[in-house]
Amino acid sequence: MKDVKTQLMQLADLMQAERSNMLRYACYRLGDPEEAADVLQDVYISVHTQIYNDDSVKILNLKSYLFRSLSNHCIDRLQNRSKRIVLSIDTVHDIADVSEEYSEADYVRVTKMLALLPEEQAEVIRLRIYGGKSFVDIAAILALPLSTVKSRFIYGLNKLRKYMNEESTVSHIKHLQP
Amino acid sequence: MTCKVFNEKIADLFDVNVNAQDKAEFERHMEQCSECRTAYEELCAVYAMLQPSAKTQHELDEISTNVTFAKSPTKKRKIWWAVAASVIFLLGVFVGLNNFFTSSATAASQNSIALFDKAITYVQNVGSFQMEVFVRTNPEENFFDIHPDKDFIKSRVQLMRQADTVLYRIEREVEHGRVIVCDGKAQYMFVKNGTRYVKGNLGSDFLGMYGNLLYPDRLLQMQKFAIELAGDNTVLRSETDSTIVVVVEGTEWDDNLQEIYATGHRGRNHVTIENVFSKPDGLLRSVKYWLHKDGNKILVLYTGAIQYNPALSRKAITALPDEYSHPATEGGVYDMTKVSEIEDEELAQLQKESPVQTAARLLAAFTSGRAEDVKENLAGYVGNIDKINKRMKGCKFRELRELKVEDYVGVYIVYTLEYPDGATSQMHLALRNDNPRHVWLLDGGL
Ligand SMILES: [Zn+2]
Repeated sequence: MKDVKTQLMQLADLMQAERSNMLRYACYRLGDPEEAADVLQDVYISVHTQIYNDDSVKILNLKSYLFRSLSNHCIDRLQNRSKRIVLSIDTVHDIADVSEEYSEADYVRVTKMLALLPEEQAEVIRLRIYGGKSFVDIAAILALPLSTVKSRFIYGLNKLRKYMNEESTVSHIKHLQP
Repeated sequence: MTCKVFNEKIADLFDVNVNAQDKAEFERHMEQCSECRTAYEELCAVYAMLQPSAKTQHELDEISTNVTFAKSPTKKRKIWWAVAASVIFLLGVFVGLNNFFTSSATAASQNSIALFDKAITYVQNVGSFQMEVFVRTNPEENFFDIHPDKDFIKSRVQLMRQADTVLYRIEREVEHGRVIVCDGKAQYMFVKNGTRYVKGNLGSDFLGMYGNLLYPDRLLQMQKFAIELAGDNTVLRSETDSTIVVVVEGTEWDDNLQEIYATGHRGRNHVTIENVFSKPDGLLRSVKYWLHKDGNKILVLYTGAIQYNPALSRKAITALPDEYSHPATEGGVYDMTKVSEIEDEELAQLQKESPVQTAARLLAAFTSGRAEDVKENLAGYVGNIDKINKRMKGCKFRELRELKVEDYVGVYIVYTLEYPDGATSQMHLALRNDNPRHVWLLDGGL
């Protein structure tokens, strides 16, 4: 059993080292950089609390664990969003006041685009491209065989390619591309 | 290398590090095999399209490293968010984090711990209670945030236990305030004067920090731990003829991300919580919560007298808000507990649609009087099918375009509606796809 203080220091070091990968992952997951920064804090707090409260907890690979926790926190956020905002629509906005010009940031587009894929494929793509993780790392994070991770990645990319080529989704893709 | 092997291993070309020898083998194969080369190039095109833009990367770099970022308006939002999070004391994380100062409890605080224990047991077993809560926040906001610069907003909190179920009601006593009701099976959030409501399951986080006011035993438990575990938190205990007052003053963790990154440690906030217990029963009667900020001690939350076992009825707790205009049908419900039943294939088709495509399909159905054909997209409006058909049948629609509205999670599709008599008007549909199935659902505009 590792000393709690040592683990907490390792956690702080890891957060420091992985912050830009984690931030990018969360940003492309949530489509919002500010919220991504908030999520990083949530992860830090929750893992910190976990280590402190239960020092027998076996976090074998803290690095994998951080990303797993990050992914879970993002899912929570996405689910909570609908709960918090729903009631605003009929009262708050007057369409006439809203400018037509709206340029979408690429993370918003990507978030929508990856939403077209089965979540298991989207997750591998996010971890690889935005989380900066290798396939071996991703296999550890998701507790999956390496070959599965790789094939999900390729399936996902291929599926996106297909969407792009399909005539029926032309307007959709127009929407997705810069 | 064969085509088969190529296809099996092609992912390796997209790994973080690519083995040079492997790469050479792939390239040799692609020189001879145009099919595999095309496949690879297409993957590369998608891969390239997914890469973060320089602008985004720059933005993220700023967030993660630039300390002067604090001056931007977003940071301001964050400060208040941070203050809300500083009420983490109420949320229960504070204590567990306050580990660097662990020391054994003093004899003085032992007395208070016994008092907390008793009050905790009582609250956990009480049949019902109610209290008024005053929090500095925005009147029309949800139950998550505290804003020390705002006025106090009064809410009424009521809870009763019936057999194994817990019923509760939290009501903001302001115009357009929100009301949360739990009937033991589901939670509902209403807006007074509104016509729509949100329904969620018991696990939905409607309550925010009010969750711990609803279960005061949690609040006490946390303070108990704070006294037991953190030696730098002070406990003051005073008595009158009828009350025992325990004031816990201490540090809690600040929420400044920059500092966490820079030092690996979190900063602290200074808070004070006053608990008033009655004598001789030892019941918690009221709570006050202060935030110490820039040399000021700001009262941000207090409760009126907590009443135990008042006569509450199921009917009163689960009643619709007075000013709430209940829609004639179920059309006003946004039911998060319902999972629509859609076949996988059909679902895949729906997911592929752009919001404009979805809107076009919906409008085509509405104007031909067949709204029932698109019920999987109607969400809360599924109860309004007849009304929709009646109103829109025979109309024509055109000029659909998408409009992103700030602060709204979905999109608006604006369109021109032409009535059978030739009159036209500018209309919109609100659609959102932040549901587990990523399907565009009708969320307003009709
Ligand atoms: Zn080949």
